Amino acid sequence: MSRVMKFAPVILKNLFSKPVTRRYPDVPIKYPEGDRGHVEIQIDKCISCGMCVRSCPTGTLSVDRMKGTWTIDRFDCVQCGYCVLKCPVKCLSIVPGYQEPEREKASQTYQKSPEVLKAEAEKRAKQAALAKEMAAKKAAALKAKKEAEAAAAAGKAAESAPAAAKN
Amino acid sequence: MPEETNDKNTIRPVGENVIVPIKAEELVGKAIEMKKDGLRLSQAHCSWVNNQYEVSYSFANDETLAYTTLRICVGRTAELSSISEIYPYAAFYENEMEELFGLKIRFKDLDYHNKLYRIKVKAPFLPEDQRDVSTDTAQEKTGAADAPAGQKEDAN
Amino acid sequence: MGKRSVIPFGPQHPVLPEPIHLDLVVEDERVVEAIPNIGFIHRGLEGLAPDRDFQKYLYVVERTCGICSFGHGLGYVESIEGIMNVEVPEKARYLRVIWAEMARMTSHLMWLGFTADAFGFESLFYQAWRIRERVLDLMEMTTGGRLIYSVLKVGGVLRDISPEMQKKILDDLNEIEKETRDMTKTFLDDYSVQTRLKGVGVLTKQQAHDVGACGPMARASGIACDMRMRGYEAYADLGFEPVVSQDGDSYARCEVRINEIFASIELVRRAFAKMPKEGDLATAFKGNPNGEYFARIEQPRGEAIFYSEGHGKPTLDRFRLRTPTFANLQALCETLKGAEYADVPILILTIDPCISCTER
Repeated sequence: MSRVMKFAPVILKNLFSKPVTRRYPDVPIKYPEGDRGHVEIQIDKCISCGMCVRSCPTGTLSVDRMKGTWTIDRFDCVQCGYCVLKCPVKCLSIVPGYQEPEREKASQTYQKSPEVLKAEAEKRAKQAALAKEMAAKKAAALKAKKEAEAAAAAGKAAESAPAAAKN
Repeated sequence: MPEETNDKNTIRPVGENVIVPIKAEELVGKAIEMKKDGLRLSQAHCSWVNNQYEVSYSFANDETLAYTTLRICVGRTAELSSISEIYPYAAFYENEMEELFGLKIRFKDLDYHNKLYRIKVKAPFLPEDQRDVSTDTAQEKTGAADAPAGQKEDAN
Repeated sequence: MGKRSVIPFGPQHPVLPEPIHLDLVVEDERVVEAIPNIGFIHRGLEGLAPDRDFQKYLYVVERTCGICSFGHGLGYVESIEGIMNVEVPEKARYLRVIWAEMARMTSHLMWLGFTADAFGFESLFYQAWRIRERVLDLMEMTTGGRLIYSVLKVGGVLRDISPEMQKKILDDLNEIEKETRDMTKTFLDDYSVQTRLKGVGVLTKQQAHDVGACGPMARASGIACDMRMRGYEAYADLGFEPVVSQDGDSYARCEVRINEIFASIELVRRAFAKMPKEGDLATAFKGNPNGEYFARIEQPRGEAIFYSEGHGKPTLDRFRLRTPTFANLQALCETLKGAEYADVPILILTIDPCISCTER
């Protein structure tokens, strides 16, 4: 008969001790450091290369280079952390704090600050001007080369056959 | 590119696994040999690579931890014989092969007739141009074959 | 000569953790035959392999199942490392063993809760899960996630366990071991548990071999086969013996799994003792997989097989995952023959079903 009710001491002990569970959400939750909760971005460091977009297994990220935005669909993100690994300028990080429940799915867009946008636009304009200058220089060089070749050919023709002059 | 599937005529080790290429007719004979040696059927799968099916039946030896795989390369319209008379539980793997890849296998002892996973598209793991409905067996028997709810579409 | 009827079991049932359907052919309260029917959770995850870069695909494979998540990631990474001949540094191998054994502990404690709940012993269900929460807290501290760890990469691991974390883990494991020993001793000695489990669902050694059982299901019937004896990762250095029982009934299966929890705790302690203090966490590699490889590892539920085939592209051509429950389903149907109808829920739970792995 001593084989039955072996669990009774444990049950009595549980009956008279404090509950193990926390009264969340009244008691705030403490996440350990290094917990994978959600992804954050320092948008001004982002260079809109799109590496994170290509690396996301669920396809939840998107960037717009001209407008300078980075969009994440928080409810599709699975907190794997692969985008954080792949970012070349390390502007992404994964921090504690799970996504709160909401009534509808929503995505979040981060916009670069106007100063950074202006600096980027200026840089782009400068690069475009530089490219144009280089192209013009190249065209001029090509033209000069062609004229020199034509002149050399004319000179040779004049040397070999005194009667036949070019043009 | 190493290991072209068309002319793999040699038995070759892959890690600790040994892959033995055989012809489709030899499958049942080899399976009886494996059973006599006391090996357990570990898994069976097929894949569609280089325009042909590569079917693998893997056998494990529980004492020496050795692993042998029989590899059969067949075309799209080939028909294999099931080994479920020798290994009764091979029917599960063969039903899955038939449903996902459209590979025809006859004489299975437990035949689900393409209803194991109840997928809407026939042979979803084959590329689109290979999925010809007329050459696949187990057509929908009646119009009521579609389950009313919970029919899963392939996640592709 | 009794009257036969077919009773459908599942996919919704209070004891089932995941949906599976069984058609039970019953003759006067005895089950004569059982025909399984799966397909409720099929997502076609193997078909995503040609669409995702092979490093990205690791995150898909990890999320095939919540409980066996670390094992799936480990097997996938091993199969890619086998194709590309990448050597994993020693420290990373020990870390992988530690995380794998702790994942095994959480899986077995969860299974213990489900089984106790199946025949009405709910107090043990809560007690087992209370202990499991402590292990999950340790996992969250070291990897960042409770069930899905995302701490693996091809060539090594992503995180390290610092010496403070190591001390905390070892201290907590001592307490966890003491609590688990008390709880499981009560469970195994209890009169009602023994009446429900002893002699129920006997699977002899020959039957287990014929039907292709693997994992604790086979080890409880006397077949001493455990993939960890192959010595993958750091198991070769740690010295490992499989836990085997000879009885073959449900009680033996419970005993085998409970003893495996203690074996895992011992393996974690040995791994921490032998792990090198300094070392690389991962090996760098270049290129795409070209070739094929079979990787076999021991999941908490049995032997899992991972096959990858690639031809030089960044995506794999074929990925195949054969999970242990797929093989144990047939063993289940074998044990159900001749069982009482009231024992069906217990027998389903003694194979430790993980149906989302089965159907991917």
